[in-house]
Amino acid sequence: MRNRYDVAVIGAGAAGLAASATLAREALSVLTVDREESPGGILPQCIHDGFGLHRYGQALTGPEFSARLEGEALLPGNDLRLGTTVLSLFRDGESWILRLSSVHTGVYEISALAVVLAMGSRERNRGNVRIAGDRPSGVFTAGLAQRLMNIDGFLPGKKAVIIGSGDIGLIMARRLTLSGVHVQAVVEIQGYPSGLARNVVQCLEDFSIPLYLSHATIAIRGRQRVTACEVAPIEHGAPVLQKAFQIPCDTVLLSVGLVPETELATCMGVTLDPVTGGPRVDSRYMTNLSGVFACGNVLQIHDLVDHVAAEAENAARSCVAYVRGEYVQNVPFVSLECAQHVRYVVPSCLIPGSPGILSLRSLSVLTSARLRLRDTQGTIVFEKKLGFIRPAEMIVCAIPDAAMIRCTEAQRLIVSLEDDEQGGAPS
Amino acid sequence: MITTCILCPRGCRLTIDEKDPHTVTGNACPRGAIWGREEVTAPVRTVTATCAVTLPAGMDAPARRVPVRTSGPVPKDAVIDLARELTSIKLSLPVFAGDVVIDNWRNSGVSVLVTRSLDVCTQN
Repeated sequence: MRNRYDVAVIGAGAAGLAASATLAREALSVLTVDREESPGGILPQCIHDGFGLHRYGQALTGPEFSARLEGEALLPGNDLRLGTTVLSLFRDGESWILRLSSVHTGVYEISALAVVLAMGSRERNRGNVRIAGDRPSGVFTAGLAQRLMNIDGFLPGKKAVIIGSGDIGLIMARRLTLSGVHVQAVVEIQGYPSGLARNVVQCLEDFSIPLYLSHATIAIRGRQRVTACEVAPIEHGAPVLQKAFQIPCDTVLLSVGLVPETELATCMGVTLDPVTGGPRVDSRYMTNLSGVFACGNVLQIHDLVDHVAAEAENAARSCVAYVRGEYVQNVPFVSLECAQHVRYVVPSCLIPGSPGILSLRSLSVLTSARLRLRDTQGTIVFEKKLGFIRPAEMIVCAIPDAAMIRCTEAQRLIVSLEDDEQGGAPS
Repeated sequence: MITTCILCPRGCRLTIDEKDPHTVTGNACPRGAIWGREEVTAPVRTVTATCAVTLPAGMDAPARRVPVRTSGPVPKDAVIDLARELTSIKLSLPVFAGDVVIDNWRNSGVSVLVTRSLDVCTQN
């Protein structure tokens, strides 16, 4: 086994596979590691379709999309090691040393000139959203229930309530129903569903599953096993406990958000963005650590795996330039500040000469949105009409080269989303 | 009828006339208009499910369920029946993505295909 590589890719999910394929195609030597015994990350358990519409022009299932990426990543220069966990990562001169633990071969070290972080994300659980009540068995995060059902062959229960109307929760509502489980309700704290509208149709409306919007889950009840969820409507921003009611069930699925998996990044000293929860990167997808790149869900939580693969390929191309010594040290950067309606923007700064791809999320639903980048004088340096936007759907916007030149002449850029309908007041 | 098109993540809000010729408005692409008309006349859905795996003693596999999909959409009111039928099918390994699990289900012209290649491996 070699112990020196050009690049180490951590994670062989959608991001890791797409990144390592790009790196190996450019004739770099790549080590790709994943702690699971099968590649594909979350994709093998996402048995439903709808993946790949942008990338392949087809509605593929998760396993099919994964198989495509695995095929693309199957290159001689890409050493894929499964059942392998990265224990730690540290700098040694110009290289990074990875300490790995393999189920098959034990603990060993490798060195790489660059590292691509592609570890994906974890699910928020009951503790993160502080649902009071008893602590019976039968409470699962939606992704765990999906794995138990689709990979391990277990039914999580017979009568379920799903907390959170994100796509994972909606997809599981359908999956459970088609497996003979009674889904009593989906409970959502916001006034609108957080998943895609089409999933509300094909996962809830198709099966007449009630969706309680603007309802908080007050408590989970049960002794050994869940017996009910206690739910109350929210009025004027607070749950009205007098109107609380019980939904009988033996299973609760929590679909309350994903957070980037940053244990390793934190140990390494990567600076994180407090809003995305993932590493702060520049427009080359490089973190504050030289030669360490990030892409996919570990960087920001995505809605579409097509975007994950595209982002990974962009990060990989930047990584290729880095390994080939094409990077200029101490290059000037233009920092991006979030203003009106913008929850976050990735990257956090633009480097002249790099592709200017912005990924951002809105704080609000806007019907006639416009993305604007302004310099410190308030001059609009770039703008794009976006139309209808909502917080649940990530906005990806490529800044054309000509506009990028203008952008990188500024010291600082203020990113805002303005609703034409409301006259678009500047921040 | 007012509904959301399910063909792509855009999820256009469609207004469909329930009377002939079932005019559709709100679609951003022509496929949406076709879907909208179908939705009021003969709604269909693609079905994805998993089948069981029969494992020889002492053997394991990367997954204990085989994910499957319909080759095309089936009538919406047949979805629950098909899903129930698929869930109880047992397949032996190896299976290959594209293998036919059910050919031409109930003469619908739609088949059920395996979406993930799986083979046995020895248990750890």
